[in-house]
Amino acid sequence: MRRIPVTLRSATTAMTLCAATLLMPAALSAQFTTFVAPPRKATVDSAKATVAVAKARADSVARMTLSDMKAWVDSAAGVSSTQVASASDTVMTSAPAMAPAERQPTDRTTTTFSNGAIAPNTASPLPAYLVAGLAALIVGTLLLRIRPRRA
Amino acid sequence: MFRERADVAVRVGAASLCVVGATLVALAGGRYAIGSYRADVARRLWDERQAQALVAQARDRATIAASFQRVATGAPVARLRIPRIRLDEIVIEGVGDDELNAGPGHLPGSALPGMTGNAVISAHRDRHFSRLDELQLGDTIRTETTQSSGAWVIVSRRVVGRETPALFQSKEPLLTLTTCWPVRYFGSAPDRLILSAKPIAGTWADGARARMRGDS
Repeated sequence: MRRIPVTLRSATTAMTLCAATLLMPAALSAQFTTFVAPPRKATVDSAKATVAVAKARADSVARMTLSDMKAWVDSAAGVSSTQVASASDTVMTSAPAMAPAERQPTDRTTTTFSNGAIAPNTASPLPAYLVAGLAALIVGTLLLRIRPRRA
Repeated sequence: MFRERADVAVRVGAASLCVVGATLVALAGGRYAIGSYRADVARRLWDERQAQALVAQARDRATIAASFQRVATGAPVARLRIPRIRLDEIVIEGVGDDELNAGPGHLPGSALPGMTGNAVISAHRDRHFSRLDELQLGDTIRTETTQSSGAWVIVSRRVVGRETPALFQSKEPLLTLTTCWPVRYFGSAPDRLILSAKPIAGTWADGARARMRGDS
């Protein structure tokens, strides 16, 4: 077996090549696919992190936990659900100032059928008109029948 | 002098009350009279339509497509009978003031009674559906259209808010009766009484059963 002579120069050259192979990709931003340098670990400033977390909590509108995905999908699709939402379905924690405004009851009327329509308005003012008119007639007639008193 | 003026004022006020009262009575009475007249017209039209349908069927010219054409607002579409409260009315297409003044109204867009889907009929609480609150689960309802006639059984009775979605599509034949709640003559109507009924098997003709299944 033939012996290869190892000199100090050849050893230094070999070590230099190895070091260059290991360090060059980091310098060239991972131009070599065989080795990708890991990103630098960010240094955590605990004071800044605490401030950021507090700020994020203050800015967040709501934290929502959805457990009933069917109701969520129905609402996203614009389909009315007959189920009444229970407290366990959706839990929202939000700042009072950011709470959505309550829906004011509007005087809607239903004239055509649609899925989830409200029942038509079937209240009539006619009975009230009739009773009020009869009462006014009776009172007026009684007053007219009162004879004016002579001085 | 003062008493004479007071007497004059009282007499003027009394006359005004009489005028206002007479106007209100005339207004309400007139509306009721118009509604009664329109109900009579609807019943007459319904009888004519039924007669025409019978003649057409006898001549075997009645086609399902022709009978399903869109019904004009104000036209009679069905006959509704509820034996328990002795109700026998002609249902009119539409739920506007004029239609509901004449009779129970069929909500446009909903199915006709006896067809696949939800057939919605509404009426005033002080008029045709004044005794609707007396109906209970298990009571029967009869409907007639030009295509079918049969009986229904009430399977659901609920009171919902006036803004609450209460009418939904159905893949099965369903009859829904609605009126204002509470059923009284005066005051606001914050809620709605909703009765749902399902067809009673055996009371519908074969053709009606096929339409209920949506075969046509």
